[in-house]
Amino acid sequence: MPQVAENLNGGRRAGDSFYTGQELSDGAKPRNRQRVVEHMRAITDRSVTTYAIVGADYQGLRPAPKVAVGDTVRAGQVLLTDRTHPRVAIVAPMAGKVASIDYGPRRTLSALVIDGATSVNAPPPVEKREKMTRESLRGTLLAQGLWPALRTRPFGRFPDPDRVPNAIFVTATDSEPLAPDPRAYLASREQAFRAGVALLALLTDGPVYVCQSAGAALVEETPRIRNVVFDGAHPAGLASAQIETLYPVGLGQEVWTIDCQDTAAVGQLIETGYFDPARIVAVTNAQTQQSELIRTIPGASLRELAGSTDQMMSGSQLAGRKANWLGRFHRQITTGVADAHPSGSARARPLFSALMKPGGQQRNLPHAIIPTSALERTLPPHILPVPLMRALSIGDTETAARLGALSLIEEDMALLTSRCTSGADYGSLLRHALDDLEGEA
Amino acid sequence: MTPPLVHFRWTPANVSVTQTAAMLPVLIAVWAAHGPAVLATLGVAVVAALAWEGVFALIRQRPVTAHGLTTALIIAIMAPVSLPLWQIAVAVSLGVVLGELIFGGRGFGFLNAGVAALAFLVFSFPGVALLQANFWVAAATVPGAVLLLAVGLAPWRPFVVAILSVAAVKLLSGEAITLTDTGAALLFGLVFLACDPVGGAATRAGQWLYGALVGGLIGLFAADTGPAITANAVVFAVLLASIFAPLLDYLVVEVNVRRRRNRAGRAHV
Repeated sequence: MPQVAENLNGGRRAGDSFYTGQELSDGAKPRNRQRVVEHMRAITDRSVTTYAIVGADYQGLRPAPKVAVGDTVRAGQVLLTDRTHPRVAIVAPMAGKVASIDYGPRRTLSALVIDGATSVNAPPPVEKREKMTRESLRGTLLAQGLWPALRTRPFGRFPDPDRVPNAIFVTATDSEPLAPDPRAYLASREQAFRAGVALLALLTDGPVYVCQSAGAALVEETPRIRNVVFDGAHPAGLASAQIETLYPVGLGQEVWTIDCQDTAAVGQLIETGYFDPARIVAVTNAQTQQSELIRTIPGASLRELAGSTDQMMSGSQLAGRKANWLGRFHRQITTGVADAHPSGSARARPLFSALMKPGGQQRNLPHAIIPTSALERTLPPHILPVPLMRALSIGDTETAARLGALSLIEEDMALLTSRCTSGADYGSLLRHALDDLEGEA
Repeated sequence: MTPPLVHFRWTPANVSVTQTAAMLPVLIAVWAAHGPAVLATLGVAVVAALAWEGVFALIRQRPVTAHGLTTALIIAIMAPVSLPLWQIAVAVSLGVVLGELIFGGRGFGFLNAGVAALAFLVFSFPGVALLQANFWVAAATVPGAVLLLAVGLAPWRPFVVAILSVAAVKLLSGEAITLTDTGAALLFGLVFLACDPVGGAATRAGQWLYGALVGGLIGLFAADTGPAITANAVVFAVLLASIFAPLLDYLVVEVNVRRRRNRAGRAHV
């Protein structure tokens, strides 16, 4: 049976959930999610001819390209490695031709686009090993490009290949608005998922928490592998909230997170020798609140997937970003987005604009933070929203760290960004603070 | 179909508009009680508040906000109609500038400009009795109070705790209270002054402490004014508690940091 811990937020048990966050909208309530799952058992395959490796998904990556524009790549071929950790590789999920490699500021990767993609030549089978060790598993994950599926706390980056984490969190929960229960993704891959969890336990000496919604236990428990239920409202389904509840990261410690589909991919890779790059994502229309599940690849062209040229978001309507490509860690594609963050209308219209110096109002300064009740319970338990927001907005990195910034990543700030009167983007403020802190460390 | 809440966001402007709307019934009740002189007070307060906002907007090259309206409405409701208008103008100017604008505007400081202005009024001109209420004024406060508490623009924790601690202080001292004056002063003062989100504590635990402080101080200040809790006592209590609110938040943060440090680094299941 899944282990249900006491409600740490209030010191008492709260039904079957760890703690309750915000009721976001109709779509985010667990009972509605249940309904969505019933309707969405059918998963349609969507192939694309264009996809991209998006730099925004790999924080801290210093790209060393292994291919050039115009090269033909096969599935599973290494496209990029990291300069700091050359063993960390990003591989092509499908064969195709490199159309462009664009860089952002400070030689970060913007996007590596591949077109003419075909899945005809499947990735070569990996040598199947009967007995995996920590070292051999690491080597396989690094070589097969599955290593960047892991993300660390603090900092939310792919881990150092030589590091041993204190705990690993497998995320099989999703509390974003209109998100389907990830059990729907795992329905056909339970065997691979269980194998993946058992393999991940090799990477750490500490616990492996399988965070899931209420229901049948996803894996068999061992002393180190635990089923835990997080069934509250957003942000209860986010990995940071789960870490903060179960294993808050201490000084010099590190925990890793991995999504349930990547876990299944790990299991399948080692069990069968084949790496399956496919991901199941929900295509959600923000207007009609309808969703359908599709199977595609990370980085897929959103326009091709949705068959339209409208603006779309990779990710949920809350935490997603306007993008052309499906993000590596996103499980939703949101269509029918009017304007997710109407920052333009949030600005007060200047009354005496004639007296202002030209350019004076275009500075787009953030508004005041008015601590309305909407800001409560927007962050994981034990993290105080308003003091953290104030610290982040004035760039006080040290205070932000004391208040728990190291336990958070961008996705955790989305709810706060959507609720705060200031109109500031706390995700990017947090990333600046984390960059500073990592530079000091 | 209800649109998802993710698309709605409070902005400083619509916070001010909502607070203003919540006060309109009270203004009408005060008008009915004291006659059109209230409008003169309101006019002077609006002009003074907006003029200073305009001056600071020009100096800082930032857009003007209309929050001065909300401040002016508080003054019009609370200040006695018999007061000379120049006194209103001076008090509003001092309140808006020193309570709000020198910090960078509403939400960047730690005081409600209305509270600051009312405190200046009472300090500078002896004998000013704020909010001479009747039953209708008290009744007209209720809808706005319910609105602000319901939408979360007035935190409910300090409101509830303040009422409980006033009651506790009054019970301990064994005094009776007259309900109409007390009701209007307490309800209006707590919801629109004490529970203004920019003037109080911003953490949950801080809000409990802040509410207890407001309530305790009201009980203390009202001890020698007879059976009614006057609005003057409420204004001074809120002013003092607002000054201490950042300290309360600071203490809450320190405790939180310590607790987080103690929890960190080990499994909790």
